[in-house]
Amino acid sequence: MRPIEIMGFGLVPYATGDVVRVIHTVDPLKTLDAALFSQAGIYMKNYGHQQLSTISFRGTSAVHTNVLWHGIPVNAPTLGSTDFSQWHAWLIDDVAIQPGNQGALYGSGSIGGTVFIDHFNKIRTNTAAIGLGLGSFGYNFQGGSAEYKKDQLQGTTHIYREAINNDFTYPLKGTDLIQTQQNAAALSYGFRQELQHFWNNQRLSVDLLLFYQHRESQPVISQNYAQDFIKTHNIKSVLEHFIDVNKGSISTTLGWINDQMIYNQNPAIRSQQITLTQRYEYDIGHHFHLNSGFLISLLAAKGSNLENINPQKQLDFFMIATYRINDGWSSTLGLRESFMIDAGSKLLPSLGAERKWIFPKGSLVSHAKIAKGFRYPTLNDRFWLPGGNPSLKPEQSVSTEIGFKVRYRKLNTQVNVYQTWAQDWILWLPQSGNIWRPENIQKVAISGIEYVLGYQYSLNEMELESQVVLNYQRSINKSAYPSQAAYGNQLPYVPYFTAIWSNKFHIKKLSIALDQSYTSRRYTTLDQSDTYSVDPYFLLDIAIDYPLILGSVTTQISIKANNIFNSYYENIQNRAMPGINFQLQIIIKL
Amino acid sequence: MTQSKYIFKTITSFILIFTTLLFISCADDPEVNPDSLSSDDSNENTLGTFSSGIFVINEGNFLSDDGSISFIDSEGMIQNNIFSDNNSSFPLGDVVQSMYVNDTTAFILVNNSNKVEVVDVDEMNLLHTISDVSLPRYMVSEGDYGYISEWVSFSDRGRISILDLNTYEILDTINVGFGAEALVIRDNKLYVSNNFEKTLSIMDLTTREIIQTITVGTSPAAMIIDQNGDLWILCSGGYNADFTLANNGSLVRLDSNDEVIQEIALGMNVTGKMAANVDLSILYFYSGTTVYSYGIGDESYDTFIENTSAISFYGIGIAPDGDMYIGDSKGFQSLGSVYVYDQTGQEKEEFEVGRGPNGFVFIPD
Repeated sequence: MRPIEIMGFGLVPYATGDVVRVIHTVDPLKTLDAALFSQAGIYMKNYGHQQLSTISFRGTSAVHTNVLWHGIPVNAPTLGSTDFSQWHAWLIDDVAIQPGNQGALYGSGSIGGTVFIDHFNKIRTNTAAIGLGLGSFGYNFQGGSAEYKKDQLQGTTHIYREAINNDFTYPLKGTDLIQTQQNAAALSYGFRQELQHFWNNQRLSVDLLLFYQHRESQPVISQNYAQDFIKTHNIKSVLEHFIDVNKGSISTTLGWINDQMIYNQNPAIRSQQITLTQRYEYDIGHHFHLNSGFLISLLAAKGSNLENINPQKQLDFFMIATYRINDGWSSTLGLRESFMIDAGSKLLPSLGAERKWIFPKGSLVSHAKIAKGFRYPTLNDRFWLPGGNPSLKPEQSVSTEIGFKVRYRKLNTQVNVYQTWAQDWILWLPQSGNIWRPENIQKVAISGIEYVLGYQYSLNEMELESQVVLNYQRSINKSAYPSQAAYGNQLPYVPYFTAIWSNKFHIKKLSIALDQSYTSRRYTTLDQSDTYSVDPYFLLDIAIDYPLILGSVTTQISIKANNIFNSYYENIQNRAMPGINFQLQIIIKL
Repeated sequence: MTQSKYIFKTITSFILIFTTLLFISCADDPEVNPDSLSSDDSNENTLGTFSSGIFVINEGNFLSDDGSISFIDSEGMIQNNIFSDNNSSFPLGDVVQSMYVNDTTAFILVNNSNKVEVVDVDEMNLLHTISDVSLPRYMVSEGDYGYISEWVSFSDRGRISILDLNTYEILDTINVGFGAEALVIRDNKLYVSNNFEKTLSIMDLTTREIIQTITVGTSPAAMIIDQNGDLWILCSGGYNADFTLANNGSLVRLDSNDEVIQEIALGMNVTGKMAANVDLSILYFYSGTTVYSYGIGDESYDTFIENTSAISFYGIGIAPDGDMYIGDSKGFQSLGSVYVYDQTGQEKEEFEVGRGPNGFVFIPD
């Protein structure tokens, strides 16, 4: 019997350099937005508790983050963004992020960064798991998963149901009243089926994801009796063929994505995407590594305000050459040409360099990168009726960054400093006749610093894992729109500062986690007006984990208490978030 | 005890302990009233009175709950956010559509919060909240009764709620057309423009029955009674099947017999807001950042103000001294502005107000 060999290189192959950070979805009962915030301090815009959640990566908005699943761009073609609350950790193996421009080989929108979800690189075992969750506000979760392998076949199946009434109470601003949140219940189902077949030097893999969500839209605090809801159905599927060839590999990936969204009683908005990509990796001698290929995407959407749109065609060619001078020095040159029919084309060069020093007890790595980035206008931007503007240009950016990573014994630290200049950002502006129309109008200068410190400490039977993440970001409007007063101010919903301090104590089999986070003030207008801002908040969450082992069955029991100080806070202006709340999780692994 | 039973018992105990910790809430939502406002707020009643001057209604950004009221006093000093600042920082609500003043009481209609906040004009202190309204738009009153137009929803007929001005109770609701919008009272009749249709509903105030429905132009909105007693209805215009502008806005004139006696085709779509000069002989309306004037009886209209540096006009009003006040929403990207023009259309002043200034209430000395 031939053993299964995993072919591929983790999530990195879709990235243009090595500055990729793995996000550990340590809590299998959370959605991806929570993991991205708690692990990387990336600000997520949550439109209420367990509601729509979009990303603001390195001072940009949701459309400026490229999201790749098995290398396929999965931002909705209509909105250009991803609702990360739809991605449940129960269905996901791996997540990684690459901050900054040109993080990905292809796709659109990687001005803020790229989020990579899953890759066919897992060795499956014959195991199964059952997950149960119970918590405050009617929270309940049931999930099942199984992994299996036999001969040259392997696969995994995951299924879950999650529901919450979300009828939490909160103090109503300006009053002595305690109000109960209405119309914020959420129900979601998810299913994943992955299968892989290996033979000789080849692999054929398929992955299918089905999501269904029915969420009441949590209203603002003064409108507590709304009845709005959103229903979404998503089908994501991918088929990949991989072959090892002499000194290299070729992977061919076909993706089909079908999204449907229904808001209240309105007709559904549907979008479809078919993507074919082929990637060729090749070593030339001992020093050169070449990664080249192409991507073809067809994007289509249909809805009462998106009529008669011809499928949009995107074509990307890319070539990334890495030159390793020696064990310490390497440099990367990337060239990418992207075409969108009727929406222009972009040539996107990037240049990176990395230097490693290895010491007896540690290492130092420094890197520098400069790259051009861009984002195509979305289908809504171009074709929404009324107002869509088919003649919009792609948004453009140039970014540069420099970073250092130090490892010394059990201490890791990393610092990145970055600067991005962006122009032609698209804003929807009011026009005559009560119509809004998008224009390429905004210039933005983004700068920031990211700092990560990880530390492990052992004493007798106790071990401490600690991580600090600090992000400081300035995302400054450099256009005098809508008035001169708006020039030079921070963009709405970009916090200057986020901080995470997480500590995990392991005492024998018991683990206690203390997670603290701070999110600074966010402004909601370009005036940076304090009156129209959202207060900063600090949160402390505590979790206790204990495994019960019986033969080959491990039952992991976790008790979590979130927002220990019972603080009232808002992530989005005037949308309440819950005070102290509890969760019990039981994961039975067979 | 076998180990599996032990695990089962342990898990059950965990669940039992845990469920006792869960927050269970089944209390009814408490009503906001003046007594429930925080009593420890030092801002209360420190801003002076608002007995004469100009109220600016700032709609706020949709679904942000940040509507507000600004006040420009007779000295030209502006105070923003006067409702929240005088009511313990209580947010006014989502989409503040309009404000109606009846003697010393103001009614603030908050469209997407489905409520009307009743405040005393002098101090802006909350007196009462009327919450049994659905997407309220505008209000008028006569005698002891107020009349509130409500959209209700985008798929139901609009309605008029009849309010007892002494008890703030809704006494009755009368269905009208879809998108019940502006209100005018003339000769004991209430005129309601049905904005999602092409019609005007006329209600007899004594019988409280709809006595007539008149076809006017597409998307009727603001209404003004001119110096002759004729009623002018500004119709915004609609869209073609492909959502392009139909450019069919119009001014429709209704005489005292409720007969349509004149229609002025505007050749464009306009915003459904309108103001008249002090002697009610000139009507002003706008599209984009251009204000147009129409002299009663004229065949056509003229361009009155073109403000190329503004972003988007969002409200219009004429003060008792004849000055024109125009709100600029700034595309809701920043705080709004109010521009003041004299009677010749020259800009005199500019104020920074709240978000999305959509209308004005003038309280003379």
